[in-house]
Amino acid sequence: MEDVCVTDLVATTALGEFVPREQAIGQLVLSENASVALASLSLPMGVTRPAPFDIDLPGPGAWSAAGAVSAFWIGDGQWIFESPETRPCALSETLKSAVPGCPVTEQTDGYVVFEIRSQAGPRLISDVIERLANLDARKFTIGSAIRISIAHMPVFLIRRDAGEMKIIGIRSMAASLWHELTTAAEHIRATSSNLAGSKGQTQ
Amino acid sequence: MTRLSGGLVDRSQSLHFTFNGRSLAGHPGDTLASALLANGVRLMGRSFKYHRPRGPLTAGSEEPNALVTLRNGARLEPNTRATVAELYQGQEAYSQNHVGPLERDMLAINDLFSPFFAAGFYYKTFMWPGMLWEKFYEPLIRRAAGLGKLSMLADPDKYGKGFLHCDVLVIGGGAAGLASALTAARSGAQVILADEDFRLGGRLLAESHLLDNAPASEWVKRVEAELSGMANVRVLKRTTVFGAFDHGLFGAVERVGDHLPTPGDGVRQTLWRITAKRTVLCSGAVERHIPFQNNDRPGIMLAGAMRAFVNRWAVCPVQDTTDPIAIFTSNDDGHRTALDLISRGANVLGVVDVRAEAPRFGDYRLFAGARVTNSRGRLGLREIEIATDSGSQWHRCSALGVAGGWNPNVHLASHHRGRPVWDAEIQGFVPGSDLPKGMSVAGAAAGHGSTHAALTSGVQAAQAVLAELEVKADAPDLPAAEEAPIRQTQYWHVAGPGRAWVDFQNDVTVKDIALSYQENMRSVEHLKRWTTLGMATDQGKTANVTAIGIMSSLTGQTIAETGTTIYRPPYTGVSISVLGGGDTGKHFRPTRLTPTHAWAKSQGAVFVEVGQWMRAQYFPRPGETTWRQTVDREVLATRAAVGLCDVTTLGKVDVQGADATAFLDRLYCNAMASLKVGAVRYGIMLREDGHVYDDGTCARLSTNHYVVTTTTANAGTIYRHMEFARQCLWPELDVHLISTTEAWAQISVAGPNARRLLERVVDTHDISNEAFPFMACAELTVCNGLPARLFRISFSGELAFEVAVPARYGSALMARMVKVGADLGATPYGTEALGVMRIEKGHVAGNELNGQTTAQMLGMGKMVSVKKDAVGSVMSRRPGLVADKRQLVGAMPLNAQEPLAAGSHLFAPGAAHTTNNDLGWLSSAAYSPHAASFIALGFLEDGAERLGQEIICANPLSGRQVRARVVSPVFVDPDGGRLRD
Repeated sequence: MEDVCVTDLVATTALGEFVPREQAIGQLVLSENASVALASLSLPMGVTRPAPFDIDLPGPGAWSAAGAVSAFWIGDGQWIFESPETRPCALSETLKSAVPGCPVTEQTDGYVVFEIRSQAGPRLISDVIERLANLDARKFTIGSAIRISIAHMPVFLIRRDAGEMKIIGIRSMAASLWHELTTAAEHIRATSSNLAGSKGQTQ
Repeated sequence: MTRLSGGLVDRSQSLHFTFNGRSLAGHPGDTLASALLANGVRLMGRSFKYHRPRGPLTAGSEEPNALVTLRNGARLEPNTRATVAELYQGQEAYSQNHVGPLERDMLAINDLFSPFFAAGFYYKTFMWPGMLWEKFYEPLIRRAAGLGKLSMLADPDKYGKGFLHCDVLVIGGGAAGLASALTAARSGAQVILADEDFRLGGRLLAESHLLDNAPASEWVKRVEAELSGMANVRVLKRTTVFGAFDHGLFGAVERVGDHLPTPGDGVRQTLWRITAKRTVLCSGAVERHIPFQNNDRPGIMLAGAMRAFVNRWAVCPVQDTTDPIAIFTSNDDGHRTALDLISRGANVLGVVDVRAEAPRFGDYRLFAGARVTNSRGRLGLREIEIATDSGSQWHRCSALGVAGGWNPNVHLASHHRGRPVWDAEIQGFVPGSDLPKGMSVAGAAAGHGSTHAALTSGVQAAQAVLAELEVKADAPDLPAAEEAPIRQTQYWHVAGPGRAWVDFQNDVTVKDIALSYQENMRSVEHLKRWTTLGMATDQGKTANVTAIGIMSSLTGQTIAETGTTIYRPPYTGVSISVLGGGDTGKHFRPTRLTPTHAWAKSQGAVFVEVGQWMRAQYFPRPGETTWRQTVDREVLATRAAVGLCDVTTLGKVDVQGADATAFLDRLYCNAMASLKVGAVRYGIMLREDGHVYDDGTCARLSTNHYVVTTTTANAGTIYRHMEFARQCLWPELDVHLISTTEAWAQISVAGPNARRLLERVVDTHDISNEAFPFMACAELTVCNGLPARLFRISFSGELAFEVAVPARYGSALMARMVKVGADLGATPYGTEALGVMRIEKGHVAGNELNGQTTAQMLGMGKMVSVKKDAVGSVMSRRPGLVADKRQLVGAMPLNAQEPLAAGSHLFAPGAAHTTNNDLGWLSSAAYSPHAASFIALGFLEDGAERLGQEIICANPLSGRQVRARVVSPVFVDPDGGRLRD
């Protein structure tokens, strides 16, 4: 799509605000990334697997990137692409051009993108995973992506970096998901303070 | 004070606490029970039925007697075992189950009436008259049941939840568990070691045995340090693995903050779901007692517990260290307690051993071939009666340790219905071969009770499970440990008069078991129900095997023939709060908010739950005092001008691919192949059985690109149905599905001014009636280039459109349309007005699509195409469905202001209201401001032929009947002129 969108409508974030939310809890920083565009790609029958944006389309459970654009596997012959982009429907239009004949669907506003960064190394990210999802954190290494449930909410988890994890959830559930994420972070902080508080109580 | 030297308590610090308001002090490392005993307090509670004075029987989680209430206010925590409650500064503890002071419980009078409370008491007493059961007996029993009292206040604390994964889960941190964990950890496997205690070591801490000629606690400390320093090991102390569930999943509760004065902002407990490839169960063993007359006085405890108090907590369970202590045993193990007591300077009266050939292990008085036959002491043990073949004699005695043998702790081994088997050699039940998959048992839990055997079996079990995972594990160097043989005789109880307690918590005596036998309640399961043995918080951990032994001696069967009950989760009590994982109140389940939620909230909307969605129900304005006023205004404003409603919640499925058309034609029962690009068609999907599954619209955006809409309620199920059809029914079709429900904010713009309003936001697209007729669709832009989709469809029956924009612009577009449409009468409306208008128009919704209706019943039978096949088409033509005469009709009360109730059943006037006369039901009802009457939709036999007739709408729940007239289901614009403009 050409960059013709000069709409004067003001977008709101998935949390219903005008500025993406960010909150530091202990050594974890949770934030909403409202500047990520998403589009899905399906592979028609008999079509050779393309490599849009020079991305080697990842297999099950995986995520791969080339430059600013990345993709993760979501099903048999299906991927979601993500790129830093705020123009409505821009990524899906670009992707359509890159893979002519392949079904592409605009997905940006189907989801909310949250990121959790650790300021104290990857261990804290593992702690977050343990609190949120039935996933073996040790095996969820860089380049992993998985569709999983958090508190009865379907999400994608993506590990792009040892000290960071992306949580892509259903947009309408953003508030409930944010609650779960912040609760998990608070519990991690509280548990460490409880353990600190118990020193002297036991040997 | 009866504190001895040594022990594993930190004497450099004092912890002050209260028991029934009395200020006392203990040390870090104490439990409440050990601290109370150290302060000379033996009386800690009253028994359930007879209100007998009770003190601790054990030193662990199997405790049946010393149940107390901790804390106060909303944190009040009844039925807490004093033997595992970790002491903290400021702890408040209260005894329970008594009226008046603990020492002078007025309900102790129950003890005098004990003959009336024998086995089967409930079943015998409350049988008649039947009419008294519900109003009298049941409330009476409920009031009497239970021990502690709840605060009835909401739990103020936070609870966490999480998931852990490992190669090997070791349950229990005693000798076997530590050896097992060490073996597995050094192999590099991922290991979780969980123990319910706040200190690792298990029985090693309770015994005086040396490991490598040093106190066992030193070895424990070294192993714990090594395990805690390994990245592949997680040590979870204060963590009870309470259940073995399917697929290698174990439930565990970590008591993160129970040992703190208040958890504050912290987490009190965490529920862990642990997925383990293999498990080594090292849960140890529970000692059993020997029932004798009046064996329940404070001061009488298990001999192993007495050792634990002496060795670990340095507490002598008597008022003064010169007070005599005796041991009553059927095995060698009891003698250990005497030796430990003597080594700590206690005054040991002697060891009463039931074996005539009882061995002697030290310099103490031995009563061989003797029994303890009775005890005295009002609030605590004062005297015991020792009987030998030559007669009996009373002896002054302040504490008695009873050793009846050890029962392997097989609880978790039984959670998948594994049945323990009797091992005559150790005189106990051991886990059978039907363990939960992947579980191995080691140490005393498997019957390997000596320290050496426990250590060795722990290593071997770890090696065995790791070998299954193809991990080679070397055996660690184990410390030299005692290896005393287990020598005991089978001895279940001391025969004699009076009451001898078997189950302390439920006040079940040997007499009760004998009565159960007499009354033919002899199977173990019947025995349990008849006597209440093994119920309540301790689940009979100290009683079950003894009871089985007594029953077997009555029946003459062997123990193996008598059998045993098996165990279910949880191993010990688990709070409902932690099982809830902390998600309470509005966070109990996720909620879904529409794209215009924030805007609607700012407009004062009242919200309603629609499944997980929170939708704006109506938008009250100042001066409107009832919801009806608001809804009537919204309906009338929409029909007179233009209304705006967020309809994002309707499911949207993006369908693409070369075979998308064929795919949809097979899913919808009506024709879809003929749908033109740029057009929308109403469609019905049927279930395989021919009933209507869902309805909605199908918009063709381009040759191979469609958008299918579903009802809000069926968004998930229809998407699943479509995926099933794509993947399983017709995998040969090249078709691609993905949900876009969330991606687009969709707003209904309905009413005669709808087009004029939309023309103010649509950029350049011609949306005139000619260019964009009813059932047209287009991709266009709004508000200066914002990509959008426009559908000319109508649920209200008015000229109507649905405009969709990327969800993040939903609020802004709604606000914009309200603003620019102010002069056109733009009015936001909610789900209530939406419902009223669709009923007025006779459009079906979830109430009519309830899974029991057919297209024919809905008046849409002809939509089921006979020119093609589709899911459910053939089955919809089966005789049983075709013969159904019920048809969708409208109903209006004869008195327009008399409400109709959805769910009412329909009867002919004068007919009895019986099933045989039932002609149908009302599915939806509302007040129609357009018709100035209550109206309803419903299904009525031969409905079309009854138009104009009177019908009775009976609501059996309220007992109301309303006379109504059968009318067309379309109350508004029956020829459709409005929506076609």
